[in-house]
Amino acid sequence: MTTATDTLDHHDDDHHDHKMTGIKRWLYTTNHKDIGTLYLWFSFIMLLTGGAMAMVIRAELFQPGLQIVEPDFFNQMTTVHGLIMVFGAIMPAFTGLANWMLPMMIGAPDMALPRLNNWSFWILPFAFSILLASLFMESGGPNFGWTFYAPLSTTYSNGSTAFFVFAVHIMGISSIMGAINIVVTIMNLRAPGMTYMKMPLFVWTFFITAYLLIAVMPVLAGTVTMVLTDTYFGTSFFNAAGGGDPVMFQHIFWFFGHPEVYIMILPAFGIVSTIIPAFARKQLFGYSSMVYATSSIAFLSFIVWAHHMFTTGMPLAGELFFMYCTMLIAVPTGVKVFNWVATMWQGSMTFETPMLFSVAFVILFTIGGFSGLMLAMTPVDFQYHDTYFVVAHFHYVLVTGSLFSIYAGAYYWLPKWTGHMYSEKLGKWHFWCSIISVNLLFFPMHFLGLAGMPRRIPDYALQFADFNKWVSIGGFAFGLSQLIFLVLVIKCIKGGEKAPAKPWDGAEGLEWEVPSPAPYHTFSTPPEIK
Amino acid sequence: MDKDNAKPVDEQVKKGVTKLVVTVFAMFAFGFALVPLYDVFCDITGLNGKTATTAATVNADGIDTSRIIKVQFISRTAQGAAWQFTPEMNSIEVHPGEMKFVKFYAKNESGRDGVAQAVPSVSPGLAASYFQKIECFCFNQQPLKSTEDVWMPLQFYVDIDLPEEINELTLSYTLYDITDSAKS
Amino acid sequence: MKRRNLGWLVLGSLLSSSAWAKDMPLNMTQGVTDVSQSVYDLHMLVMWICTVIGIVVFGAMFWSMIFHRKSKGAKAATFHESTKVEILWTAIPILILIGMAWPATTTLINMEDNANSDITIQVTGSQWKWHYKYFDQGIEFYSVLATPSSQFDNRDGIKEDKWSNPNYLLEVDKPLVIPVNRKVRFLITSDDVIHSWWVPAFAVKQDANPGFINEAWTKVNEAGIYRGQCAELCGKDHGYMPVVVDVRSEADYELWLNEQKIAKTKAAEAEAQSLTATMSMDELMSLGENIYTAHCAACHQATGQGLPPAFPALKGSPLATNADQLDEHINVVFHGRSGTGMQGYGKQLTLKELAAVITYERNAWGNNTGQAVQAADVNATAAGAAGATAQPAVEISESAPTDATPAAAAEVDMGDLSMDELMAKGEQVYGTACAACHQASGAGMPPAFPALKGSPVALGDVNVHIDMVANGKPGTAMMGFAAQLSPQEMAAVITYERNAWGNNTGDTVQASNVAK
Repeated sequence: MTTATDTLDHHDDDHHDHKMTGIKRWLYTTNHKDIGTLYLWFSFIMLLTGGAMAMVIRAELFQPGLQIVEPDFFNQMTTVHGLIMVFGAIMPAFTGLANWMLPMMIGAPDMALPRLNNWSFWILPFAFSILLASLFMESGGPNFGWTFYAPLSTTYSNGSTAFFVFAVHIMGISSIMGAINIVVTIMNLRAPGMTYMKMPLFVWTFFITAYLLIAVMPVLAGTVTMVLTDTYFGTSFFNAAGGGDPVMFQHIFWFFGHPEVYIMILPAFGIVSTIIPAFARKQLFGYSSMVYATSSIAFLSFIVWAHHMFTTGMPLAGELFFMYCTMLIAVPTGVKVFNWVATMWQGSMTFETPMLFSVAFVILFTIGGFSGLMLAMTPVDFQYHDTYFVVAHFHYVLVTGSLFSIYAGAYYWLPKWTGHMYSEKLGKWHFWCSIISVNLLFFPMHFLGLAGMPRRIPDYALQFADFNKWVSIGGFAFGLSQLIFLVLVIKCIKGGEKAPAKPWDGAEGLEWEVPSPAPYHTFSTPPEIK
Repeated sequence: MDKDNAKPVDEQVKKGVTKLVVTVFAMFAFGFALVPLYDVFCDITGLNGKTATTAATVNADGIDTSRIIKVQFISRTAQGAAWQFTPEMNSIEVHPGEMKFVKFYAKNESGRDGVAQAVPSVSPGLAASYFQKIECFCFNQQPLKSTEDVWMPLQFYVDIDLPEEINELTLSYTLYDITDSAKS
Repeated sequence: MKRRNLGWLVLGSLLSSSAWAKDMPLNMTQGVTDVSQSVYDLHMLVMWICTVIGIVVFGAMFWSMIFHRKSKGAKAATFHESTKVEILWTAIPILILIGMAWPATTTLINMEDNANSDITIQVTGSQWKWHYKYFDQGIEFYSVLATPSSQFDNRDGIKEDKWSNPNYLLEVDKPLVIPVNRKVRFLITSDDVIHSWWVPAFAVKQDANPGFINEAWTKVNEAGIYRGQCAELCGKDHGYMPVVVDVRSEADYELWLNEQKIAKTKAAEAEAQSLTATMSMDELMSLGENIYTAHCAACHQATGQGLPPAFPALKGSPLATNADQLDEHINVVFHGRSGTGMQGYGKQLTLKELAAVITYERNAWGNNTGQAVQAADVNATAAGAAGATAQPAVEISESAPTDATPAAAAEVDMGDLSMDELMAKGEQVYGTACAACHQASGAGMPPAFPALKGSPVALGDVNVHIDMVANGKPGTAMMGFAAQLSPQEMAAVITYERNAWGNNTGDTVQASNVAK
């Protein structure tokens, strides 16, 4: 999150390419740091946009009855909130971090495909403009949930399907291009001497994630294409009348959807595995087992998709298979958590904001993992499925998991990006406000789900009223808390204490060997790894 | 793939990109290949009670008179299909391997000439692959002029290998009015 | 989408709603079936395992965070690898998981055992109501949210009367009724999008997929009323689609079944009468407005302006204003429109109600066509296809439980009769039991009451004909007459139907044929 002025100061020192100024600089840039900055700002704007929709949802659910929005608009809000958070906030934020940090971490001058990099970012705003614009059209935005189950999204859609499909296609292309770039960069541009098993774990998790993206984003593209032709061109992939099957939609969607879940959490593992050793001042425990655990999670993600569909009427053998495979994922995930705890064990710990977010990540992600294990048990899933218990589960994994790890990473590398130390005081405010409100927001949802409140409803029975009220209050508080981060980042860009090359005394890695802020071009001659 | 490797980095990158792009297209195609694969998957696991869409051959495995299987029939007309559609009986009892003939009555009452398609589903899904149809109106589209009616045939037997624990089958047909899509 | 006094809303409910709200259980329900109990046990088992693991792991973490901090002078250790430990914390979780998978597998196998049920009920979801159909009983009905929209629609001011409704959003006009201690099998499907039928107290949640059937079962141990909701997003009013199951003792259940059969006969009679009645415009409009509010206004809005494009406006629409599109209007309301959210109301409303609502739509909001539509018009244009309309059965005895037949039949005369005797007796029986609908001429009153003269049933397979007369016709109001007529009477009437009015099949049907 650097600005034009910051980097302009430094670029003259080392290079003499023709850098453009103003808007053109950002439009035409092929510099990985610039593109990383664009990605990060874009994802933060999307986070606020999707967050605003969450505020609408929570305001409607503040008390029973229909007061603020129509049920149909409520459905549009839940749908677009989900799409924006998944494809607009979390995934671009990770790509932004990858762009900024990967080349520096492996000692490369830039990404392997800089022009492609520019493209993969600049098509994103168009995708989300289309998606958001559809909300203001007469037909309304997509209202079938981010999982767009057929035939609600095909035969029975409100006319927004074409915009939705087009937007998802563009997001998918962007992700695929980003992923290709990450893979070839890691494969070809590592500094001499940096073997695969010497790569930072951060690099490993992005490497594996990129492979997942390449494998499943095309399947998503295929799925939405089928939805498009079913809706507008009379095919019958998911239409029983023409010999299709609506349940097949769910199988194909979740074949993409489950690896997608890990696309959003594996990079978080990488970030946290970088930060915890730095603030425990102790090497990461079990590096190689972390690599193996990440790989096995990635592999398992391909054979567990149907655990999202236990109630669709699967035969017993299928239910058992998917239950066992899903439970198995707890093993490598557990290994990771144990390794983080072992890294902290007998360390010499300090708790600056990045560490606070990382510690919160370990605890709250694990809680999300526990509820995930409960959901894996098929018989019990019949009670949990499509209730607020599930909503609680995936928000623990995605908000206090993925989002918190992104915050941790942002605080950790802000000095490197801006050249200034962020305000530790504001950072602590951000953390404590977030951690309290996020738990008020999501923890009661477990109880709502167990008591029987289905998800995606705009109105609810009276016994759920008290809990929903508190959840909404937590939601508003969490939403407001994120503005602290915005203030903090702007202040940090504008000024503050000068950051040394390596502001964290326990930090390791090539990125700390270049000055802060990182010069526009780094490692034009690759460093030697011993 | 270190710097001292024979090939220059650019060429390596190009090769890598080509491989990945091929993978992307292969996975896109795989997404569509999942459609026929799904049918195979259903066939093996009995997912969703999908039955075969083509005729089975006549049973040659004999009849197991020691077991009686109750086959229930459900007929439904989909929303907007102004057709009358009923089986001649609610249920029938058969021995595994025994051939049965059941008629379904359909009448077009939509006030226009139309085409309908019946979509079968068997429950429990596991039994779907044991439900053998020699002849079924669901294999074909059924055109009917306005107010015309027809008795549609279903000839079937339950495979002799039907798992022991299953003694009741439900066969559901949903009749869809596909006049518009049949035209195009 | 607008809120006029959000401030008051927030303040008001912050201060007061705690006092109103009902207590919410904090844990999963134990339910009222053996399955739901074992699901609950499993849930508790996993939860405690997770809690213990959590305490151990987080305990270790907090310990090191408290005692191994730099400010306390802690020096970092240098260990960073131990294969032994890694193997240990891979193996232990696997053992724990096996311990969890075992009971889960047994419970699941039990849940999926749908065989040997006592009662089968077809459950069909549609936007946004449930339809229940009792197999072999000829009973079917829709189950719709009963909470009035005035209680939940707060857009013109917060409604407080909901707080005095204990079953707000969880009540329906006609609940599903099942007996206690009997294995009830549900065949679940959908008419439009995917729904999910969920009753937490039974631990039954099963998706309703259009075109396919799913099975689930329950055996309830305690009578009572149990409430659930649709669990799969199914469009606009997904939140207004409750499931209510009334579980009764077996005796009460039988009583209820009989009541339903009588009510069905009465409804059929009323339906037949409405065919000859002519309602005044005022009557049609006032009944029509009520029906419109209850069934149509959710999508087409009370103003008739709809929510385009998914739910088109009726106000000023050609369908509702052009005189020559009346037939199409009737057809759309009756049968629905495939591939849209418009479902057919032919099965849900009576002919009279249909006529009234169509009249209303053609005359309200400035659609001043002046056309009054009568029940007979609806019948002539559309009825019969769905077969849902009247079959005014005459002389159906009030106690007509289906299982009374065998005993009664055993005592009656089973002797064979000659063709002439059969025809004479048949004509007499036909006159009292059948002619009201199918007419003395056999020409029926199509399309609601099909002609028998030249009909495929009367000319086709004798057994089909017998089955239809004895057991009724599924999906229609054609009642089974096995309980009302003796085998000999049925034989006679069937013979009559197969030989009168030029149906000269020459078939004679005897009591012994029928009794089979």
